[in-house]
Amino acid sequence: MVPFGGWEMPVTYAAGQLAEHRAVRNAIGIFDVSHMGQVRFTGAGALAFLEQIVPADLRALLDGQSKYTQLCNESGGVIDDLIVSRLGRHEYFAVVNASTRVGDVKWMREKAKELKVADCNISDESDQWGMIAVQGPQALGMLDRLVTNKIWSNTPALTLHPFEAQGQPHLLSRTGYTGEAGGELICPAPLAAQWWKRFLDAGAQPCGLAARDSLRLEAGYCLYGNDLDLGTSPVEAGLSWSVGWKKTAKYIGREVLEKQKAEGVSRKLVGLRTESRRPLRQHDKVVRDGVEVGEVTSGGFSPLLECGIAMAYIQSDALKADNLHIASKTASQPATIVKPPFVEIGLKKS
Amino acid sequence: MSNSANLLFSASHEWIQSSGDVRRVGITDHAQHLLGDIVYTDLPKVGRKVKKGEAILVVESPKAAADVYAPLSGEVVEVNGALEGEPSKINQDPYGDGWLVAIRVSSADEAGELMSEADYKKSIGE
Repeated sequence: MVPFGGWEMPVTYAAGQLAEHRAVRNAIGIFDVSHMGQVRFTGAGALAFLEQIVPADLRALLDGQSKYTQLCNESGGVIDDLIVSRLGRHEYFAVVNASTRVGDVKWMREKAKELKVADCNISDESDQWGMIAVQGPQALGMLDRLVTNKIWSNTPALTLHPFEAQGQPHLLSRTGYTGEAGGELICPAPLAAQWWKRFLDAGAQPCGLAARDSLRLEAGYCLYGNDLDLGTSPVEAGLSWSVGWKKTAKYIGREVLEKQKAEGVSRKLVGLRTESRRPLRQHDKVVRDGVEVGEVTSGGFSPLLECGIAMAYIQSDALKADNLHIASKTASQPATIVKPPFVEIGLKKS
Repeated sequence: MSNSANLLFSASHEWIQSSGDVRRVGITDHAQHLLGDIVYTDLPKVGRKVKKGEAILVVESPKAAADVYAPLSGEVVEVNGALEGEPSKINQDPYGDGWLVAIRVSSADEAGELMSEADYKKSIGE
């Protein structure tokens, strides 16, 4: 067990990282992600407020639809990344990272005051919800069997579904952090252990933080704190697709993001792979002709490709280079820029 | 798992066979457990002269990289090439198929500082 955002979390369960990783790619794995934060926004001003604090265009969201976005500061730096869903005309629900949750909510409340937002109540519900990610090619089938009320296999990705079980409110979010099909069950915290056991008894492989990290890295998803932080912008991180360039609201950081889009950025987040089994590490240097041109922000070993993979910020003038190396203190090896996902993932196959 | 009798142990979690001119070296079950799934080894060249306590190779899991130190001085006369494709053998059988290198020991006198299995287990609180 290791400390993680104020929680004690297992790095692996008994099966070990590689077995857990493969279970998710080939069958089904479950992750206790109860550490994630849940924030609800209610009131006639909810949409107008959210539009001012995230770069994504939320106006087109219909009830039950979700969007990936960020909270940016005035310089375009990322305070957190999150999924925002519309539950109703005057009700939105966000899932944020554990380690940033308290700061996010504090910042949002300050901004609501500064922006003189009328009628938007911000409620941090994190402590009342448990959350279990159910991921893999068999995940939706298991959700169909165990979580009544809906045929989850028929719901599209990036949707959020409130439902009732055991007389209590639940939500199923058709999202995940592995690149595989599945969902994240948001349940009342006191029921989380029961749900966990139900999935275990049905044959799901419990997965720890290590597999969560190698799965998201193979899928090319950013990790807040590694690939995203206050010093990086969504444009530098390759997340321009998530920015609502045509939205009308003036959101925090807009000027900087638009300038970066128009003028280009001096560094970009890219995927890199090697031909060696040696795992790549955060803070390894990216080198061209003996000169440092970047740094690995997430590194690891791809269990599917059986080679080192990484995400690294590199200088824009090195984006086309074919002679990059990744250097640690003890070794240097050739690396190729690849566009994530690094492996064929379930979400892309379907 | 192969048994760990007739092995000597170092405080840095290596084992070496307790007798013979040429002796196999590996990491302990405790060490492989701490590292987690081992995915890479950086085996030394055959013929390399090593001093007791010198880092001779690296084993890496996604979680961590660990130097492996020579338990005794000598010359590397064989490496376990099977690990290149299947480093998981170190996890599965640390005292058997997961051996790392074989060393022709130059000075068996140094073995006095190594531990018996019972003492090693005591040192790691088992």
